[in-house]
Amino acid sequence: MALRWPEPIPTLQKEVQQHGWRRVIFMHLDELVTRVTAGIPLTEVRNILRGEPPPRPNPRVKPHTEGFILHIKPSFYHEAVTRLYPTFRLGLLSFYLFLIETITGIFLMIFYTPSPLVAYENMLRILNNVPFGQLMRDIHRLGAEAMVVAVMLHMLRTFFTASYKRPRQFTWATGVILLVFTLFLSFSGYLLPWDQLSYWAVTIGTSMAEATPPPALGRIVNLILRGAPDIGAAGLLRFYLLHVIFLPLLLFFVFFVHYYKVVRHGLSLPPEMEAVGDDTARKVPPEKRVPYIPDIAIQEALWGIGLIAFLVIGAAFFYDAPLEQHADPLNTPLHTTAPWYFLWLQGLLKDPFLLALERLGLPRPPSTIYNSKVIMGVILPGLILFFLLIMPYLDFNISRRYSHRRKALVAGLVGVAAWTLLTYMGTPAFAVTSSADVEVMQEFIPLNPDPLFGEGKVRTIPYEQLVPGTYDTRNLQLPADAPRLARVLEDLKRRIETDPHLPQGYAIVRISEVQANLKRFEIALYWLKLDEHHQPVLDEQGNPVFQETKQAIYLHRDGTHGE
Amino acid sequence: MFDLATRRIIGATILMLATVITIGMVWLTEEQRMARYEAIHKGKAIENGALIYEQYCSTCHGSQGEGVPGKGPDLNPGVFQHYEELKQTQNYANSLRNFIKLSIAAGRPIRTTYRSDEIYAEPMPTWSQDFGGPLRPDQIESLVEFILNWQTAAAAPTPTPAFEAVGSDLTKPLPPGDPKRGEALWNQEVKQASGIPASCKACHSLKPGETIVGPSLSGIATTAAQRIQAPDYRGQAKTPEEYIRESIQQPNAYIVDPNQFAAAPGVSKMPATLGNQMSAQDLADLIAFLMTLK
Repeated sequence: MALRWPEPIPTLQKEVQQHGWRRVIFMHLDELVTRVTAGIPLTEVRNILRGEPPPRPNPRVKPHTEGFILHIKPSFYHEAVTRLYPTFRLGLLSFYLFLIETITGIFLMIFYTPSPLVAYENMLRILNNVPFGQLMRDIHRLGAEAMVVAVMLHMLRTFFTASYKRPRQFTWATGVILLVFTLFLSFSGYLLPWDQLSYWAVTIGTSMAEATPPPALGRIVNLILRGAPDIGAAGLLRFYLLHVIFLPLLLFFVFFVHYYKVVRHGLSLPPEMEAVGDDTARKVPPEKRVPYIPDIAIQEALWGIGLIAFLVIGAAFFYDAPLEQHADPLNTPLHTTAPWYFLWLQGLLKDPFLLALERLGLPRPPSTIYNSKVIMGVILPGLILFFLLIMPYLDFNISRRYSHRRKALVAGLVGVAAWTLLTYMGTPAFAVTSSADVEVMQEFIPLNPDPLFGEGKVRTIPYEQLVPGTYDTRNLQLPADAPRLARVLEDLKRRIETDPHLPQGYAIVRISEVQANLKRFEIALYWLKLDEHHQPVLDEQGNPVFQETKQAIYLHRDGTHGE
Repeated sequence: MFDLATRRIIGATILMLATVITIGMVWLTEEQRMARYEAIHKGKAIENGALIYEQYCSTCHGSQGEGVPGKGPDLNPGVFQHYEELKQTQNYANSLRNFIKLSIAAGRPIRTTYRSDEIYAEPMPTWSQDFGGPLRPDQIESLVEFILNWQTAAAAPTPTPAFEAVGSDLTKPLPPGDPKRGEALWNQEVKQASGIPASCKACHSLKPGETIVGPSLSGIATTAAQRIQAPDYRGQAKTPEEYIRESIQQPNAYIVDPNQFAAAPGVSKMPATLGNQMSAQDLADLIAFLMTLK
């Protein structure tokens, strides 16, 4: 039996004959729009744009049931959670940032090879040979910092509005995991430029791994993470794979668990709107409902537009991702720090308890009993993380009202204050003990950019003002046409003469032109040598002995000085 | 003034316009920005190269690339002239940049020289980590940038000051020596009459027992006095001063330990041409300084 169509196939020609061409164009356009929007016909799109209420049954909920992307989104929100408070849109912003990081990250991946031999050179190529390379890199870096900030603030607001409480404990726990992934994602990307900044920040950041007790395990953890006792080719490849595949996949997976729970339980209402112990997020009375399409969708689009504008304008005009010199495992920069979000760990490693004991004049406990790297670097952060994970399950206060949560709120604020204090303690401004002469060199002619002093004061002098000559701070003969040089030399004089650790200190500064467009700037620092009784050490002739430190940098006309 | 929807439309339009304009501005200035970044990076590479040169290269090639007799040839302008010569006489086809880069990275397997009258104690070592040296590829690139930066200045030859060299003539009378100035010569704080710094300390240490290339000169006044008494001594010196003078002007006259200090049979590792750079006063001052090392 021959196969037959039940009725003749309508052809375009017949349709036009039947309905007229204008009607046919409309019909096909309508069908296209309905398919693309997963259920909203063209007439309804027009209604949405005109701000008209939906008909019944509401075709605007169709994309939530028919479409893949929106099926995870609720079709309406409680009116109370659509304002800035209580969500501040921090979860949404974190997700947007993740998307932007993915897109800019793939752009950067095109030009990057994870090998110490070429990684830094690739960075230079991205900056000097790839159109929009610098913009993309700056957005990627700025976005990463913004994502860390957004996720941290998201957690804080969830805590302060008590949204972690029953039934959302598990949502909170997945959120803590997402925070950890976000930090590690950012941290693993930190190493990839393979410059001094990244190399040493990650060396410091991963130095905790080695302290994992017992020592045999610590060695293995360190080897797994770094690929070798120190970071090298193997470590770079590992961090690259963590950064571009492993952590994003994990984060993506946990994100969906997190977001499913958010939708399942509904966005928690502002605490003051509910009776104590109630959770009415899912029982939204019809008059309080705000439909996702079009109201929330437009809001979310607006936040996206705002975020992109912030990142693009910020990266183009106000922010440059740093790129220092090529990583050099043999040359540790002074004042090295971990990335800012791990400074609190660096602060812990300076061990506030031991510092307090020292201040009180008490002896340190022996390191066999109290090993501060193990306790402060591994055990305490591990406990803090564990506590954050299970915190909602330990909270038996059912009320979400601010007035009923005084202790929790105070604890939260104390936590934030402690974090801030530890972060400050992690910076080189706190309890870094290098010798006074080294600090002077670092302030004026650092060999690597310094977190405290930047590129150093000498690099602020325009090239023309580097007048060759010898300058003695005891008797400064300042060149007339070099005001900036004069200021720096006077600064140097003041800095040395006011330093109590440099008695009778003075400096001889030598500026010489060594090549076309290249000058050498040397500081030779001299100060009185004192014995343990703070008396000057004398030589055989009875003259006081001076100590000497010399350091020199070279300055090229096209370098970055004078800016 | 406007309702919420209108305010949103205006706000979003402004933000989108600002984003697009920003991207357009970046686009228009991108060529210049990339060129500028390239220039800054090159400047930084030269700065880095200068530091590396000071640390690793200046002991043999001189702080200004002027070369150190007996240790290393001049790079400025020697290396540029030598490259031109190779191109013309040997059909050498590689670029100047690669010539310098290769010479640094892989060194030289044997002693080489630009000029027939020069002799060097050691061949150029390998510097790249690829060949067992200390420098990473990016450091070698920086170093090449630094050396190439001489090229502009190398075109104009530096005038040599007119002076009378002592050469290898041992009979020429010397003026009284000044040990202070001799010490300054040794430390390269003042230059010889030829305008070239004295290169003694490149090979000779003043620490007892330390051999850089030549023997330590710690206590040389005493050693010299013993040497002229030694049975195998074949030189003409009668006094310690004369012994030191002979060693500087005619290093091949007597080689203390040929196994260690001879470059070839009867040829000392110490160059025989040092006298061509110094005046009688320079030599007298250096001897006076060395005679203080008892």
